[in-house]
Amino acid sequence: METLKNALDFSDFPGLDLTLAASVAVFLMVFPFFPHSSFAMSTLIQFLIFSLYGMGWNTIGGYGGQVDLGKAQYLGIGAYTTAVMLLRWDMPFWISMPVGVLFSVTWSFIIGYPLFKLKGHYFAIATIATSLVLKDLFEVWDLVGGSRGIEILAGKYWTPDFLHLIFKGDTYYYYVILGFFFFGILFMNAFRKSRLGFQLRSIKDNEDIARSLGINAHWAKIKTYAIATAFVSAVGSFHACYVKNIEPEDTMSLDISILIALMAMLGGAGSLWGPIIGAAVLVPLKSYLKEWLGAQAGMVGIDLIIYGAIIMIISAAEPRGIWGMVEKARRRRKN
Amino acid sequence: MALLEVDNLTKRFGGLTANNAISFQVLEGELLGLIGPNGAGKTTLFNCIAGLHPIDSGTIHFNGKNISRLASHEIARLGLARTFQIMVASGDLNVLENIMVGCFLHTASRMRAKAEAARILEEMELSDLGGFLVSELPVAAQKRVALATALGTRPKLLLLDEVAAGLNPSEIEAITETIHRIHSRMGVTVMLIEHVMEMVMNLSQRVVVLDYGQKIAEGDPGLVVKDPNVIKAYLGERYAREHA
Amino acid sequence: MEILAGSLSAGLLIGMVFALVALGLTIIFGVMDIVNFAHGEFLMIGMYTALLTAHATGVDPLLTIPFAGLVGFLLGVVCYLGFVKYLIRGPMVAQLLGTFGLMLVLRNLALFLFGSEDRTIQEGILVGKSFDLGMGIIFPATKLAAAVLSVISFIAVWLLINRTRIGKALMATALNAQGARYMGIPTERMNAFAWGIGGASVTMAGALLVNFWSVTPFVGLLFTMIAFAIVALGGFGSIPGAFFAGLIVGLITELPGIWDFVAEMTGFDWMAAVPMTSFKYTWVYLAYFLIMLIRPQGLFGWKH
Repeated sequence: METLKNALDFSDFPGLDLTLAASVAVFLMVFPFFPHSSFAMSTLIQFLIFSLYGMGWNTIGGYGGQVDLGKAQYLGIGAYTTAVMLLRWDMPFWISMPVGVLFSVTWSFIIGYPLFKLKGHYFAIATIATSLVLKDLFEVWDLVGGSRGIEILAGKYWTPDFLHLIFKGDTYYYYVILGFFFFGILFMNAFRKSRLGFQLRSIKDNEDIARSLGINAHWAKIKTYAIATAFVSAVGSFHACYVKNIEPEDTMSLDISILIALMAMLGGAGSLWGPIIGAAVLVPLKSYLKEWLGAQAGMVGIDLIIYGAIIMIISAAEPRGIWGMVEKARRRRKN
Repeated sequence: MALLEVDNLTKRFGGLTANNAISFQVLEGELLGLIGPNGAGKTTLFNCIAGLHPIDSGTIHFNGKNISRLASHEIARLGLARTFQIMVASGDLNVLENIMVGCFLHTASRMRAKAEAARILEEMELSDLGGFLVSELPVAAQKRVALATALGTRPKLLLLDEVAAGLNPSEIEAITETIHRIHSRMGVTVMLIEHVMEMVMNLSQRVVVLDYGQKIAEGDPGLVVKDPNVIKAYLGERYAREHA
Repeated sequence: MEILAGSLSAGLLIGMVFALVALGLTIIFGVMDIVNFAHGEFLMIGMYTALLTAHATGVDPLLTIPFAGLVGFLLGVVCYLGFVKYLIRGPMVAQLLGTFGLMLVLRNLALFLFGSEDRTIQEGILVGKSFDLGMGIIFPATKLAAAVLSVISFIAVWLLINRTRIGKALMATALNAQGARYMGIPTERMNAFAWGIGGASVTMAGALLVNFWSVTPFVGLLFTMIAFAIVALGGFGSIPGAFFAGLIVGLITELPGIWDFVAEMTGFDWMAAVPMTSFKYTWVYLAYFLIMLIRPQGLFGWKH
């Protein structure tokens, strides 16, 4: 009950933020009714997807300060579970998604227990290693189509099919993921005020002090890692239905893991709005750069050079991200 | 009755013996001072009791329970809290939220944790500072926040590591008064490491003296400072001989 | 038996090159606790440098090594002074992502300039020649030369760090940067030097590797991960550790051959059915993970 109240209570943000947030929410809800290009629509869906990945990452990476660079493996588990269950047994999305989450969370506990014995760089690289091992495994696994992956043939379903989440038009997908998105915000709002959220922020601050206050740091990290995993896995399931063609290289690569962490960091890790702001900047930037520059002959790679340079500048100049800058400015005005 | 009972505790770091066969007790309701020159092993002893360092031999009993092998968070849950010499708080938790972290040990409800933290803030005369980051505060206030955070866990025994270091005389007087209040009014048993002798003398009912990892004296503060071994430890062999 | 001997010898040869690849990473990490994600891209640049120089000038690719080393040194110094210097003031997450950004830039710059196709060296005195020592031990001449030159380069860098004044200043910076600064060592310049040496050793490794390993703009990540595994195994910051760990990781990549040998000896059909070659590098990642858990300070670690 109190959790629900916490989830719905945004009163600790200034009115300006809430007005902005509400305007964005309204814009997102009515956007499909206005004329738009299909490119804009797919960019917006990507934005929502990556916001959610970023929110998941933000629990352990932002609030907890544990730099996790292996989130793509859970995206893969979620996506493949849904795809395989749909193809083999015609299972609805709403069953395969929780099953995928179950697999992901189980796997996260298995590797999380040893992973969180490591700290700092060692932890970050180990998360990459586990993700790559799983990707290699998927690339030779016949059940999931090996390196060629799986294709969901939409043709055999009557659309719109809300049970299997197979649609022809992007608008349906848009509203489904928008629902996930709003749920994600409420969940994160409750999380940051929960006991676990406080414990994690204390661990990030100073682990020795946190433990001296009775916090089981190792277990708190593992639990949070599982929450982050559930987020990524559920959205990964959606990704499978939306993209319909999944292969290890696209869904489980290191680039995806890094992108997820980057979104949250650019926007401001450890804040409610950070991952959303980060995704709102990076996703359109990336897709429009690719559209404008990547498609022109002889310009292959230019988009990613600019993209990489932006990452470099942000990391060197303002590692606390956009939200960190806003908070700093506000704090200065207050004092 | 002994609340904390340390028996033959030994802790080595490589070849260095930081605590050598130390035994002492802290009685329920007592205020015990732990003194000794720099490098005597006081903080190490705290870290061993609080479960931050694994001990090499000996036993530690708290409230009748053997805690020698427990992890530090398990020990904290039994009601043994400590403060750290350096309160590193560079993070984004403000003062109130810091204290709430301690309070969350006994409740999962944010409302209750917040109410209790607010009460402790008031008790510690920090009410005006609740919204600040710890890093924005002067040292004296930071020390109070450290105390308040530990109090949030509702400890039976509080280990204080140099809460007066870096404070000026009037601030020392204020924090002495606060510790006294925590001890007498809130009924918390306290053990403190302190270099400010005046403070130890005023507060402690009993002191334990460490030197080079050994316990060299124990007892009434007025008597202990006259102990030749203690004088020798603090002021050197020659001084002790000349003034004997 | 022949499979085993062949695998072991091949593993040791490639391991010597791997050791040189990891050397730069361990120096940089040892001096300033930063993990460079663009390490493999430095290697890729070394490979292209050797390949293109050999094409342009007509000299044997093996002779381009000093030039590749020079390019790597400058690359390292420029990266440090122009970028990493600012990065290390921030939190760890910024360091990880910042060097990842560097990796993206370098990789795609190569893609833009050189295109995505595989390139190999076709001409050279040693290309295509090999020594057959019997027992299944075949040393391709390019690999042998690469291994020998790797060891020589490795020793040269080791001597530079252990036997020269500037090397000692570097070690002092690594052990205690603040203390070194008080002793009058220009630690900022030492950091740049560490990046220079790190860059030079890995581009030299690239120049050696390109003689038998085709180069694309995407070749880097695999080597970054291999270098991480070697550095973890050898102990972050340990130079002798990097050498022996390089050999061990070289052997790990030859596990498929050893697996085949066991399958043949025992006659287990199920073993032969496992597509081991697909997992050639999976073992490297797995090894990293297990090493970190069992012995986080590595085999020769001195700084943790």
